[in-house]
Amino acid sequence: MKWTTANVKHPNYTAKHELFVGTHTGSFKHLLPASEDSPHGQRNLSDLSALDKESRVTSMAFGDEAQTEILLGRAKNTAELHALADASGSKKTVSFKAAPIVGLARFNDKLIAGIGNGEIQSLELGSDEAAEPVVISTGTQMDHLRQCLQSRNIVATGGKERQNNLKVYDLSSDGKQIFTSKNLPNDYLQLEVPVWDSDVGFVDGPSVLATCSRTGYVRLYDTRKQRRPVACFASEEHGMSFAALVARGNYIYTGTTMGALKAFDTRRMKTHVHTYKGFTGGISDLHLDATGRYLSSASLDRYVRIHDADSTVLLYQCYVKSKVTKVLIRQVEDEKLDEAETTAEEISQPKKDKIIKATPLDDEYEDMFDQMPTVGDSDSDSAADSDDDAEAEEEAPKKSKKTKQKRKAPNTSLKTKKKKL
Amino acid sequence: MVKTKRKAAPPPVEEDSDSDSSFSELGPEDVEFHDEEPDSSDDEAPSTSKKQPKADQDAADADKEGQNEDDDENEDDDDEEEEDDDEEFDKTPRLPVLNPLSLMRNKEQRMALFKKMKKEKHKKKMQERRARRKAGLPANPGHTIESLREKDQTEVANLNDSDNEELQKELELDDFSSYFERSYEPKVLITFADNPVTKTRKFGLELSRIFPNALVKIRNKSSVKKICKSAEREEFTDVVIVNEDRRKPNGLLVIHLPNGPTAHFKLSNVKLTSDIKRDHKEITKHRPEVILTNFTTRLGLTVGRMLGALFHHDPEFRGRRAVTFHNQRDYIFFRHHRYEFTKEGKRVKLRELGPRFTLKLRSLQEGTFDSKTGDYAWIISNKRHAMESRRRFFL
Repeated sequence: MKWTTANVKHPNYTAKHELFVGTHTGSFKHLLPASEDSPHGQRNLSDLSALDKESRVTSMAFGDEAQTEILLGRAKNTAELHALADASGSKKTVSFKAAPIVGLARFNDKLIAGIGNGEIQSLELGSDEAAEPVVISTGTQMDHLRQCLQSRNIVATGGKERQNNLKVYDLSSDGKQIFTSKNLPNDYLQLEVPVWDSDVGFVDGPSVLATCSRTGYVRLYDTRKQRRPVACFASEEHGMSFAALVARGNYIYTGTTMGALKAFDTRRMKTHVHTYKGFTGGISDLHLDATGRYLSSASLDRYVRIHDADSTVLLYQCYVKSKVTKVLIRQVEDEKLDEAETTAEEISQPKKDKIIKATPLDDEYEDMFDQMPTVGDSDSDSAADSDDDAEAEEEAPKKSKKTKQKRKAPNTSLKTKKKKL
Repeated sequence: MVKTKRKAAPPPVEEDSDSDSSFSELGPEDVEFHDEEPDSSDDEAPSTSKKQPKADQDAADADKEGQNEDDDENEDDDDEEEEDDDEEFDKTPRLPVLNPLSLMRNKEQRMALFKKMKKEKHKKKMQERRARRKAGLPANPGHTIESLREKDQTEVANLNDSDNEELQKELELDDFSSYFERSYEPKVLITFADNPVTKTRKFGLELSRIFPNALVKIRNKSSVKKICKSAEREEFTDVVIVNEDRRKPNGLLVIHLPNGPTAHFKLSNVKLTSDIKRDHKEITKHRPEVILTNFTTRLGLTVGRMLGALFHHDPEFRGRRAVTFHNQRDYIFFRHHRYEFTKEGKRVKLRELGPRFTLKLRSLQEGTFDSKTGDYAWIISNKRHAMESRRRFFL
């Protein structure tokens, strides 16, 4: 699509999503791209008049797996819990001992906050205000704290400098440190490689992590394997400075401070595989929806955008008036059941097709197929099967031709020999 | 062909207009605003006025009009402003129209018919103009790049609108809010690239005459980050760094302290006071008035605020100095004038003092200068071809 400043919604964008946006001024907004009449309408969920210079939104996360609660941290020492289940939008404010709050997580009844000074503080939600938070010190500075979505007792932190590198903590055992990363070996001049883990993310489970850096690297760690990264991308000549990251499956999506959004394949980290366009300002946050197909991004050019993660098409763009710092995307609640059904159908349909294809009509038929030699893998899906068949067909005539030629060749030679004789 | 237009008078100031020697020498002088647009090689440079940018016509229209020009020149001075035949321009692309007369073979007949057609056309135009004048409508602005500008989603039409509540809040909270609350007096540090040539140094010196409370320092090979740090310690509120290339000033970095933002401008067409044959002794020490025009989008608003925050909030009207940052098609033209009202107070006489230069925004960064790892709020490098269009402007 051509670059434009207008609010856009792609006609093919039919998924039912809603967006939650936290901004630099401190406003907390709700957008509904799914609505037919006003896909760019926005509703403020917090009171604008109460904002001050320190109320910038610095962290946002879903509080539970059902995504019915949003945790919102600000540049001052307060965190807010917004319940989304009821329409009134009840809000609870919790204050920590330090600021800014760079990451929030909820585990059982504890609220865990990563603080900019390198501490992890956890508070019991049930207890009264006066309770002292439990403090775990991770280093001297922290840029981000993220919770693992699969096992919610695991959190990871990252920051600037070597002592604030990627660390993983287990909250179920009193915040025990279960992993700390190790920097790459020194470079050819025996100088230390600079460390700045500006954002961290879990890749499908608690053991694989990805980090990105403002100094220009993207690294993939496997906590089961080794402390050093298992895959690494370093952009020395391009000088990209990565600010935000989200990872899922085989892909890591990272955004730079200059407004480039790239996708990396964890199997081959030499270069990026996708570039998502449309940005004029630095990218401050990324979030994937539940299916992993829609990538929402927050940018300092005051727009939120949704891209198709696979085809890189810009599906939605909306001007939200202030610099966006955090974004969250989720399925619309009312439509949730219908959505689930439709997606289930979509998933089940191809399976049925497979079954239909696989079920034999006759016993004779089955015997025939049993006797046939297998050419390719029969486990892969139908498309691959058909490809294999096609290949087999292609190969078959070639073989026959070859054999024919082989058969012919001796004959001709014999003939010539005869002639010669 | 350079069009000139009279500059509209600025809002009158309650002040007795004591006459000035330089004005009496020159007599009432009409200011000519020659706009240098570095990239465009159009023969028609746009002329500006403060209230409403009246600009040149499209090249296509100019061609169309070319036929009529011979006739028009014989008319009285009402024809000074060329006007288009097509009043309303719609969104559909305009196709070239083939005149059926041009297919006629008989030359004499063809010419006669052409003449007749032209006369009718002109008559119609005059009628329309007369009707407009009678109704008291403004002159037809014509078909300009400005009028065809792509609508920008972020445009700030009216600050006091009810739906701009959030914007007002943001303006209360942003980095310049303390300036607009008048909580401090701006203090500007001006410095250069390493080993500046004389022209660049002179330019820096002239900037220091424009910004009240400014100090010029030689950089002495220190880094921008260090300069920002020490300037903050010395209670400067802004740092301006002039970059040069090929012995000419070519870049301007404006850093607002203590928390940014940082703006990087391309600097072109620098004319020093001596280049426009003026004397720097004419420039008084009075604090100037600042005029920021045509900053319409949200980004433009930030840039305008940033440039405004380099000056003291209270101008000294006695000095009758005015500095103008006029944005036109993303080029910010800087001019420096002294004005004087005529006896009746209806017209104003202007004298340009210099320097004059043109700025174009390259990037706007959050925080103080950190080009490698800092967050950019807006940057055009690497994607100029994707973003730029003849009819799209960002400020």
